[in-house]
Amino acid sequence: MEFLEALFKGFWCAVAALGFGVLFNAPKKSLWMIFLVGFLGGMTKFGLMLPALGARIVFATFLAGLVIGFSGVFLGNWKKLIPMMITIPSVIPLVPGVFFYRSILGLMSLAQVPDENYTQLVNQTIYNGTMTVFVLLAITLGVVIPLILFKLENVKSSIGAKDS
Amino acid sequence: MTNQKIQNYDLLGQLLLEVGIAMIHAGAPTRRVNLALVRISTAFGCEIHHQMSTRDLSISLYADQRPVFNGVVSKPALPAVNFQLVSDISDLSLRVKEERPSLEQLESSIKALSSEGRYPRFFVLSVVSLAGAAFCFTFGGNWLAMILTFLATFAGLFGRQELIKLKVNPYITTYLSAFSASSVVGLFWLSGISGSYEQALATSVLFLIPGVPLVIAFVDFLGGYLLTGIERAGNALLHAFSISAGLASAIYLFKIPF
Repeated sequence: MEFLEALFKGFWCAVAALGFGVLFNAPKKSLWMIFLVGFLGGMTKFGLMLPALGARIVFATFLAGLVIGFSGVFLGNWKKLIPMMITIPSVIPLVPGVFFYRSILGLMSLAQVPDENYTQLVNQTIYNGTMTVFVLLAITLGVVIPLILFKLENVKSSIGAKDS
Repeated sequence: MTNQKIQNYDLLGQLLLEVGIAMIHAGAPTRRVNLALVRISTAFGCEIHHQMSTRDLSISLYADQRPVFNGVVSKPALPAVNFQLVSDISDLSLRVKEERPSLEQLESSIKALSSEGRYPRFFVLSVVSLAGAAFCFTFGGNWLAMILTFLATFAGLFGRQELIKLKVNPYITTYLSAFSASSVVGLFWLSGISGSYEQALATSVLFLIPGVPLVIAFVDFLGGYLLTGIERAGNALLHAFSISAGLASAIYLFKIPF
């Protein structure tokens, strides 16, 4: 049952990825790849966070980023597209939206005369802010590492190995 | 004969400037812009030296060790990521390298590129709003919150497209779009219907996140293009700040307590 929920969340991640593909004007033939890669990423993240596996969010997001990065590079090289166009829209559904929102809210409520709850507010705000930064770093590195490892971002560019 | 040649180099230089700045603005990593410029200029027998930032590009062309063109283009960056354009220019540079077309043919292919369109506006609005609703679900929102996020994203993105048309400062555009999107949620909150407003508020502004500059900043950093990387990261940070400011303004205005 929980696994089904992870699948379902993966599907909605894929829908979100597709939306960002359209927003960034990705080529039409890359849209199905964005959907697929976004689904794989979402499934990896929410699958790893299932109670049975119990991965923490930063680690799960990093692995999901890597899955997106590698599958994007693979698909891109196969279909002769720039992999970045597939991986960037696919990874956006993993951004730490709620952590980001809570840290802004926390920062706003810190701007007051301290009372007895102030320490708790500080703690929560620092926690949310730190999580935002770490999840963002996890996503970015997860996507960028495969792009850098396979510097031949496009199979066709191997013809022009001299000019890079 | 000599004059003809110089005129040609002028045209080549202008085309390179046009292609380069278009690629930078469409969200291509610096290495890829570099690659396209080198491919095209080499195909026409020139050596290129260039200096680029996210809003300026200056190039010098040399033929037979002799400077033949110097030029600079400066254009304020508007938030217009366009992967189709990056892909097309990248393919074009490869074609130029392999097929060696004439300069006139290159010019007409570049003109054809710039006239190629985007997805229809209403389609973009609906798909991105659906993406917002999808986001809301993955963050644990219920159906009502998803519908709210859909409406908020639709309003925010519509406003953003209008502001981009008016060429408003990009950060103010982001601020106003974030404010209008979260205000939609705020208005519903005022109506008193119960629902998961936290998720709706948090996800209503996510269509604005500067994902492309952020990831490309790191691609640039790791590729050794530190200066452009810093520029892109700074740009991403300012957009994130504008989103926070827009969201914070709406929270403050509607006195939302969560």
